[in-house]
Amino acid sequence: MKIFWRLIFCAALIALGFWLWTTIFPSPEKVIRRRLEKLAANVSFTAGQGNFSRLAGGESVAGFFSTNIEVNINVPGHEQVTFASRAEITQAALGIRERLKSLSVKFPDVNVALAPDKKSAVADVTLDAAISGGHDDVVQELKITFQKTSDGWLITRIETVRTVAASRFTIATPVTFVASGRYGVSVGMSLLEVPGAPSGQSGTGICISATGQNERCEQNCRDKKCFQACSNAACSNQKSLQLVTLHRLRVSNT
Amino acid sequence: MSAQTDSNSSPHHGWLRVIAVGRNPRATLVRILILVATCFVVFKFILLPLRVTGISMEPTYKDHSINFLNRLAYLAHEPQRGDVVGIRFAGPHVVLMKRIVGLPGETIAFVNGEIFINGAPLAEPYEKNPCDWTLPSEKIGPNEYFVVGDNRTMPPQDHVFGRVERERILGKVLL
Repeated sequence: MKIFWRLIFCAALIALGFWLWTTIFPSPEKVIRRRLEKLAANVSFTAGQGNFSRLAGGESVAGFFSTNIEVNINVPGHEQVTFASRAEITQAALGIRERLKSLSVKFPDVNVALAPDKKSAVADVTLDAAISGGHDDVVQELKITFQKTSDGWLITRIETVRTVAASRFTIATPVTFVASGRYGVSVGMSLLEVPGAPSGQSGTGICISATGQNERCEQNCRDKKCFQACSNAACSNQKSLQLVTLHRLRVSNT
Repeated sequence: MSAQTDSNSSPHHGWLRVIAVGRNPRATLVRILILVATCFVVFKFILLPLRVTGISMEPTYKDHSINFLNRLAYLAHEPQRGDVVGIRFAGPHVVLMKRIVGLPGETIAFVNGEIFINGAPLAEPYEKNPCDWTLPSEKIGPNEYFVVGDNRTMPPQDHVFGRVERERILGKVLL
């Protein structure tokens, strides 16, 4: 019986030693997981958070990224987001804090693959973002590339992974132009074109007009005239127009 | 007097004890451990509990409803048309819930809201609300399935649908 308890004690001691070792000298995978947890915490903010802490949180986000970065996030149903510098990241993080009441970002699944030289790693993650006022969470699989530097593991690249291969309805780069609204308020409009689609080919063109009061109008359109009529229709009962976004979708042959 | 009180309360305490830990506490402990282990294995590896978020599967599955994903459903056979499946992202903690409408090697098209498989219309009894989606025909790869939500009243750009690789399908939605 004594031997049994001694064995138990030794096993517990070994387990404690292993835990201490991994806590003091964590593996790169563990470090990257912690970086992602911290990044999610810094990107997130709540409605009750003060301006100072919001500002500090927004500015700290850029610290997770390398100086040379390539970020390209394309979530279906949302505008494509691209960043090429830390300054753009900071600007976006601060901009989001101004526009939204709250944002909660989580990475519920993280798979880290370390390069053989152990100086870079790729994390395959699930992004789960809950936006205030949004009906659904934004869920997207991302591939995040990390580089080991003197400042620790920094993100060099973020790209979107297509979990479901998008069908031929695709939203491409927006072409923005400005026009005058019927109440004299400037209206920002985005005409989204799909590259490779022959002009005038039959396909569904959808105009979505959103006003400051979250009123929405949708209409099938094939030309700019129709889009403008659609925006006017959505704004006809609005005294102050804040935003009108027009989307044009075409069937892509690619 | 005190003895009388003790004799009165003793059977009461005994009854409570039987309710709490059973007649044989050791056997109860073993039962609890087995139950905990079984629940852990079942709900971690076999039936994943799901909380539905979003409206893309309405009216079949309501927003915030609870369900389970049977991970053993496709051990004996491959996914079938009409199955509602869970599709993983980077891992199993967040899954996409969609219905399989197209099988590997088939050609699928949407014409005025109706699905055509290899040129023939697909009967969809679960589809309650008419839609006007029109999509050109698309060939599904040999190891792919075409998935789409039941709620097609929303614009297609707000809806996640398309071809998905077999290895991403985690299992079949149970209820």
